[in-house]
Amino acid sequence: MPIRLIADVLDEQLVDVHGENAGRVDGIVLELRDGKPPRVAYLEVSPITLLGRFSLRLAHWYARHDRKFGEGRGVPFRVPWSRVTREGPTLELDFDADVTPISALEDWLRVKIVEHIPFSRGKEDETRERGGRNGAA
Amino acid sequence: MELHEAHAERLLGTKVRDVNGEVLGRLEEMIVEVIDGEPVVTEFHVGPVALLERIGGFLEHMPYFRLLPFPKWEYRIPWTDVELGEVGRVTVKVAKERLRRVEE
Repeated sequence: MPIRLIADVLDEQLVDVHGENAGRVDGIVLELRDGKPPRVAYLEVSPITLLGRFSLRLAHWYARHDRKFGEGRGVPFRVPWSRVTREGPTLELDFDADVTPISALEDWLRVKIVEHIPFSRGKEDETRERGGRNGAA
Repeated sequence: MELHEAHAERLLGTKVRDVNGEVLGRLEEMIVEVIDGEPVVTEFHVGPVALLERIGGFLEHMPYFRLLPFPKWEYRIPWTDVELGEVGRVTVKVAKERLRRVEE
């Protein structure tokens, strides 16, 4: 069945193997081959790719700063198309997003800012609450 | 064989020109099919209907929307006729007259 690459894939929600949100599709990488149709190779999930849609200079500026946060940072995270399946409007990954840098920015913001706000809830609280709800159900 | 990459999201909205340099419209959609186990782009949609398709087909169902003088055509161009540049340039290898124009 044909897929509309822009309408059905770009900006769509990704969920990981545990059903947790794993960001949205910020970019789609096509592999151009001589004499063959362009192959959908990777989906990119990264603020760098998102910024690159508006301004490449802004994306490069962000990547330069992001690189300082450690190994593997400063470049968009790529998901091979073969590791994605379509389930209705959502795209499912066959791995755990927590072991990837997909939510690195959100994690950094949570640790450095959100958890310091009075009465804010940390990730552990959310996980515990979700576990309790699932257990009750 | 040389390998190159292009970003679909950066090609979006790019002006597409035919072999004579004439502008056909803007690239709005790419159709992907699985051929021999590989997801490949088989068709490119250029023009205002493709844009409408992308930003929300629901607009067509809104009252009086059909009365608006919105241009309703698009070119559906097979991948064999399209040349994608890595720098975001999209050109068609044939003349505009030879392309499939779909009126709605």
